[in-house]
Amino acid sequence: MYIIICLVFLLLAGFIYFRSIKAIKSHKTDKISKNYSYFAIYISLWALLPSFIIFFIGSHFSNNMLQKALISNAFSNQSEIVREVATAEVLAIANELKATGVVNVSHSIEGIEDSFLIELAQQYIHYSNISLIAFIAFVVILVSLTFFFMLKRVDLSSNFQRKIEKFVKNILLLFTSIAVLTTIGIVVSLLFETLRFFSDISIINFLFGTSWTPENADFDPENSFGIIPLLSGTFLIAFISVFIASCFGVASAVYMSEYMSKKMRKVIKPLIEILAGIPSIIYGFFAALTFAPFLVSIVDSVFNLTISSESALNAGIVMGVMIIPLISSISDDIISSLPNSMREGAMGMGSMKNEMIRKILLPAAMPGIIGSILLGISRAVGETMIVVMAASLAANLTLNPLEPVTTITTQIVMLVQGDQEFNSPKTLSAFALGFVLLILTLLLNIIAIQIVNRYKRKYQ
Amino acid sequence: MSNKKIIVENVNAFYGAKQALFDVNLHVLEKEVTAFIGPSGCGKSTFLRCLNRMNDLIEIFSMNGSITIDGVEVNSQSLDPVELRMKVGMVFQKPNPFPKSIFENVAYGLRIHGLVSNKKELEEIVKDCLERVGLLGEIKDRLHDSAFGLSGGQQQRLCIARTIAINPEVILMDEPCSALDPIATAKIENLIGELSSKYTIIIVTHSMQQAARVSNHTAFFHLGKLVEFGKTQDIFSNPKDKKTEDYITGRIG
Ligand SMILES: Nc1ncnc2c1ncn2[C@@H]1O[C@H](COP(=O)(O)OP(=O)(O)O)[C@@H](O)[C@H]1O
Ligand SMILES: [Mg+2]
Repeated sequence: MYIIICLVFLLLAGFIYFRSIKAIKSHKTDKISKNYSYFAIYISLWALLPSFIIFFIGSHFSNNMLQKALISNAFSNQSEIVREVATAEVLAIANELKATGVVNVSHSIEGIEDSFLIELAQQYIHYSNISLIAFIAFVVILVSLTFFFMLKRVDLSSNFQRKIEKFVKNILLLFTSIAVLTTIGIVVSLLFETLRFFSDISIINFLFGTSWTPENADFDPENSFGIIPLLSGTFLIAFISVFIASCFGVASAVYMSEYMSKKMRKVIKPLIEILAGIPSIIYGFFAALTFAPFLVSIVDSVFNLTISSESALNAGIVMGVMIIPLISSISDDIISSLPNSMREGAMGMGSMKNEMIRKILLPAAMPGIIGSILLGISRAVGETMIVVMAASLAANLTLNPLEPVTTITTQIVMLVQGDQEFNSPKTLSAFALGFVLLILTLLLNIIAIQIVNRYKRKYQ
Repeated sequence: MSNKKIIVENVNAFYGAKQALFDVNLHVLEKEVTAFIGPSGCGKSTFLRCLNRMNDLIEIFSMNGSITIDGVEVNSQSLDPVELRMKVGMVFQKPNPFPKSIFENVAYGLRIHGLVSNKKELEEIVKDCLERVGLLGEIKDRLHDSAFGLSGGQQQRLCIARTIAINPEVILMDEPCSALDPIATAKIENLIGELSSKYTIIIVTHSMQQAARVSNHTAFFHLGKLVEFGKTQDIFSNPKDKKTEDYITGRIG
């Protein structure tokens, strides 16, 4: 079916294209003689695009209308739920029939004959075909009309190349705004669901409550959604991981940018960046299955302490390893971008290399390094897979890294997993958590990017 | 007659396979100003940077021949480049103060080399150095502001101040005025004149007038070779080599 529609449009386009070239040739204006094809494209665009859009929007609505009029009406004496289910079933049958030509009733509905459903489906196909053909005919007429209208009205001496450029520019703008609007849409819908949650649970209890027990939501909703233990868990793990990642990351950045030979650096740097591309789920099961038992036995035998196998330390260390490439790569870029004259100045004063690095280069690069660390924190706060696999589900309010803690992301995963009622505070709380997470990471990113950029501007 | 501070014999220098200096021989007299002139790319900077081993920082660089300062071979294994660079300070083409306060810029060398024992002494020496380059009066109450706030000429004088703070014997200057306006240039030239009573100064310059104004001896380089070396007056009034004459009269370069 769609092949036919495409063919129709292609034919129309070709027809218009050659007709307009012919038309313009017969006009004998040499001003635009070079512009034949641009003129033709211009006319085609104007004649085809609006009709194209009308066609798709129109056929969509006509299908909807047909659906209402034909199917829903047939079940008007049934309850609303049955009507919905039956409508869906008829559409499913129709789709199956169109695609494979085989009639197949997958869910029989009580009180309605299967044969009645099939009959409705066949009728639906019949009418939708008719309406489609009608639409195509309508569009063909519409396109022809606009075409001849354009041909008469368009000023032949104008610059069509420029007009097409403008047109293309607008199309690009359209796509860009779709991307931006989608993002805004997501944020807004998140915001609305969050507000719905706060109409059930007070925002004070949410932000300052110290117990997170969504399983108790049914009998004590006000005191089951305190975000504090989640925040403390999230930041405890983030702190451990970023501490580890900063130490290793900055050290490796200094080594790569100041000590490694250029050849070596060309090999090592991409290698470290590849590390950043390892899916975090792999780190996750490494943390849960390999590293956790190892950590438990080490802590037990060396320090004689008991540590939970779902401890913050475990998740934090593995997440730290994951974030090292991020910090090391950005810090390396920043240290390398310091002007050579700075190094020569310091070396010319008779500094040892380590003095030059500690006293001149690192202080100069510090704002940028701090920016990269903030990006690392933001990454750690939003990281999901590692903590889902390695952190606990129990929302303990503690800063002891040996105890199990949970994080915002872990809880979101738990809350929306499986079959859930969409309207319960339990599910809605996931949106509130998501919103908090969004704000946190957004703030961290904005600050970090600001710092890094300001820093880059200073020395380039 | 002053004695020979630096003696250079048969120096060849290479960047990878590319030779930048060909068999250079010359000497630099103590407490005099020696100027290196020549068209750009002729190896002046390369040669200057051999004198304090700054070229060590360039991976592909290598050289042979002998350079001695006070009779000590510069490239010998036993000489620590850190010590050498304390003795042979350097001022660069583009002013390159450290991203620190004006005070800290001068204090840096004193601190890393442990040349002062207390805060008071540090402050005195820093102020003294700034005074000697004529900067103290201009920035008296901005001592702890960033050095990047200074004008180009002031920055370059700050770089000279931080170099003399560690008490070098030789100061190398690589086109120190090429990024400066005429007034700032004049100030630096005066400063060079004053400093030459205490230090041996080598200045690379592309301005013949500058070489004539500030230097006692001049060396003319061309395509990596030392073409002519002698008293500045002689070089400018009756050059022996045709190439030198062409360069001085503006026919090459
Ligand atoms: N770091 C370097 N790597 C490779 N070649 C260099 C390097 N620095 C200078 N050169 C080359 O050495 C030659 C001499 O350069 P340089 O000493 O900077 O000249 P000058 O200071 O007289 O303008 C030039 O041909 C230049 O291209
Ligand atoms: Mg140079």
